[in-house]
Amino acid sequence: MIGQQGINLIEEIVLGMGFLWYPTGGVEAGIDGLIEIRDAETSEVTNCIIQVQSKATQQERLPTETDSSFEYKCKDRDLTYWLQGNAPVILIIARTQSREAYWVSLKDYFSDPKRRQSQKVVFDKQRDRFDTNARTALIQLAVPKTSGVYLAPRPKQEKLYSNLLRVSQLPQHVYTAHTATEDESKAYSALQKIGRELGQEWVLKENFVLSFHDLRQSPWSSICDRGTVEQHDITEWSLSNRLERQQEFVWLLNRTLLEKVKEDLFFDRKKELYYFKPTTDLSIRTYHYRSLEKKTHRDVFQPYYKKNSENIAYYRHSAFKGQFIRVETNWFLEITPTYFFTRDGYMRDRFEQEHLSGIKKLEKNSAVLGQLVMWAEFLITPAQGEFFVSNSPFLQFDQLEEFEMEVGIDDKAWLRSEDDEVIAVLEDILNDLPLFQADS
Amino acid sequence: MKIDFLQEPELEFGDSGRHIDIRFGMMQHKPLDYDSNDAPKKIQLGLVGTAETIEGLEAWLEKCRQGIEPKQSKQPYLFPEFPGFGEDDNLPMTISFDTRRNGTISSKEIEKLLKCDDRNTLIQKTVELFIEEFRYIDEKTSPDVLICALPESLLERMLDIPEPEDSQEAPILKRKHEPKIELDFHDLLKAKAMTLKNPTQVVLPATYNAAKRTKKNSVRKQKNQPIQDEATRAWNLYTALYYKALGTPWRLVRDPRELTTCYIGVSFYRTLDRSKLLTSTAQIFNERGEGVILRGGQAELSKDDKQPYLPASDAAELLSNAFALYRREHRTLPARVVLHKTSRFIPEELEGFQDALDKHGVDVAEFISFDRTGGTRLFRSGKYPPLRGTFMSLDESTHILYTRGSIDFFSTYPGMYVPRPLKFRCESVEGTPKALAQEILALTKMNWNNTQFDRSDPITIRAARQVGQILKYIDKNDQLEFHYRFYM
Repeated sequence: MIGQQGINLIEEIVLGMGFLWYPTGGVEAGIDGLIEIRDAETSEVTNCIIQVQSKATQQERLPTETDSSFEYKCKDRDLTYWLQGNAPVILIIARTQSREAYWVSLKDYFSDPKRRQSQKVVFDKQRDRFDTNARTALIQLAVPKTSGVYLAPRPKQEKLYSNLLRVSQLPQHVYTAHTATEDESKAYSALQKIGRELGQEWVLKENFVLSFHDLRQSPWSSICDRGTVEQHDITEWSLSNRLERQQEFVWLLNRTLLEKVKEDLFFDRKKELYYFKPTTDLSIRTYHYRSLEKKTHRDVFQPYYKKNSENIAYYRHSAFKGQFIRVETNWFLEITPTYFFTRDGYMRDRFEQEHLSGIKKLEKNSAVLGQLVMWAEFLITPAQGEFFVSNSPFLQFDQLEEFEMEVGIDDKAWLRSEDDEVIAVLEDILNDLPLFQADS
Repeated sequence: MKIDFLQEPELEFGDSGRHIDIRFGMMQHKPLDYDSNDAPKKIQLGLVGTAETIEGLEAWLEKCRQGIEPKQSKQPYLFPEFPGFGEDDNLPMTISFDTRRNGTISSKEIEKLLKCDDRNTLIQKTVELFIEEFRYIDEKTSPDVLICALPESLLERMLDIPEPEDSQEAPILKRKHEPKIELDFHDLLKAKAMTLKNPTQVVLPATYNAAKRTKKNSVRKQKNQPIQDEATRAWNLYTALYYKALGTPWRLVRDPRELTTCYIGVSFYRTLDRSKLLTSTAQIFNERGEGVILRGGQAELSKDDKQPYLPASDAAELLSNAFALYRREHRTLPARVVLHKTSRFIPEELEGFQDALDKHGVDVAEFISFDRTGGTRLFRSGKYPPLRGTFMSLDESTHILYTRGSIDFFSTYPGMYVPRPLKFRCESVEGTPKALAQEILALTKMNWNNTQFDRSDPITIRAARQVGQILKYIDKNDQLEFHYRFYM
């Protein structure tokens, strides 16, 4: 009776993985059932089989059980029988009361002679849980290593973060005017002079000005040909289908972004990227921010030393490339995290390419995501410059666009089958995951 | 904005066998055409190199024949063995070589080349030397494929000669006045070999001699990719040779109910002197990947955003020529055309293409442009990047497709840093974006130069770009080969 309840529980879990379950109605030491691996997407069966030995229990707590583990001692005769077969065998401890199950691959577990001698299996209650998350591990166990059998990726809800930061606020109007002077360079320096105090959110093309600042007002009005000043609804530019206007508007947004971050960041025109300014004494600069859930920090400017020396080789600045793009009627800043390297905090280092490709060999998905989240936080939250700056009135961001995906990856199972040198890189502190608001 | 997932497309191999993976597909089902009369049964190589490189390559090919053990790894699907080849094996084409078909370059000649101080001159002279030997062998013994077994010393010298100008001193200003031409050994060799009867293959010392695997594993500057394992190297060389010997190793799986389709890739290149001239190239494929090369007319730059495009009449001519070539190969016209272009289409250009479609009575056409500059990316909250096949639609026409990424079959992400997805726009299409993306994903697997299936570009775009790199070395009136095997 209890035995059958255990089998029922296992069957339910196996079917939940999309696999097939064949009970054998086995004798005492024999096998209770077979799992056949099947592609949930195509319903194709593989003839890859795992034998299952079930041990059901009603006990709420086993004699050796702690909060994290418990032991199970196998009979020598059973073990011999299980281990001599030609198929993989798993042992499942099914708790019919709490409807929990734990599993172990017997041939793998007892390949260690010491364990074989003890006949004991120590179950880790977290790691060895037999539920639908064990799907990938069962596939790895059942499918012969060189067979080339393939299945559709695992159905699993996963969140994907894009690098598109939504623009949440833009001004209502843009202003246009022809400059009073036809000399473009004169007009440019006049505008710049005013902009130094009031902001550089304008662009000049020949003698035409496009601006977020009200050009009817002093001192802006002083450089404009009065009769030509016009106020437009922003959508005439922000939602225009004319390529020329789209380009002008992106240009204006770029100037606005530059102005918004100028306390903390420099912009490199050649590389077209924003990067953290050095500290005045060239010491490490740390940026503190909320990584959605938890306070965290990152060294965004730091020196690197020459080998076996106290001399500084170069400085590394956290950086990003930003590209404004319009999707339907919304604007986004597409953020590409990267680094900038200088000799002295200011001059570009001549080996920047080598430094960059060096770090790109070490950084993976989670490291780059961490930087992306930092930049998103930096751009969402008000400036942290040494002096108080009012928040940019023209440009606000709210959040990175997110998506729900129907298929996913079992990171832990994949990590187990990686070669050692890859594991070393993936588990490096650099590739620690940023902390997100708890979803679960 | 929305997101979707595309399953890994299967390929068709011998006896209608299917697999998503190229190497397992070939191992389990043999090459697609193995039982046809046209399939290459035995490929005769003509080797040109130094005594050392010829001997090294011959020894390695002999080793490959027996089979190469898989790399020691916990990733058996990513690093399978190379099973060896022979008449009765699943890789039935044998590879043969013979001293009578070899051309040995003396160490004296190499010494002379090594004295060269100028990189371009060195490349030019090396190419001339190899072509001269090739021509002699080609005429005397006519092997199926000519192999350039480049010695390590020349390769190193090509990469080590310093730039003539001091890069510290305002390089931008200098370039403006006098554009510096940088020759590429591989592309120049392919261009010059166009006058030979048979295709060529460059084999670097690193391919067959693990000890030579120092830092030089590419003839291209700054393109040192991580070193491949030995079995993968054997797979790649074998497959490229099979294709070059006129075999078809695999093809796209085609539902007979679907329309017969002609795939065309259009790309642009600058002439060698970097003068304004831009010329387009096209690559025409069917599902077997039988590539035919076409040289298009002169392109222009759009006033708005400086993107290259074809004037209407040239666009019409290009497509008409493509149809003519397709008809010559297949005796009939396709029912559907898929045109992949490396820049945006402009209305004038679309009109030109439409004219050609109307004239030939081809009803269904898909115009898709690719954008290399796009930087939209997705991140999983995990150790691994998104899966290959992740498909994001920004709006109705603009889409992001992960052609590189995590791969379920390999249980890993076989790449560096984070993958860069492909961005494309459906400019004027009949099919759904998802179906067109699925087709693009399948076309990434039609690359005969590589047997790891997760290539980033569809072969249409990749081949068109690659062909452009070679065509820039060919004069307008020079002889041009039509088959893709002369360009890869």
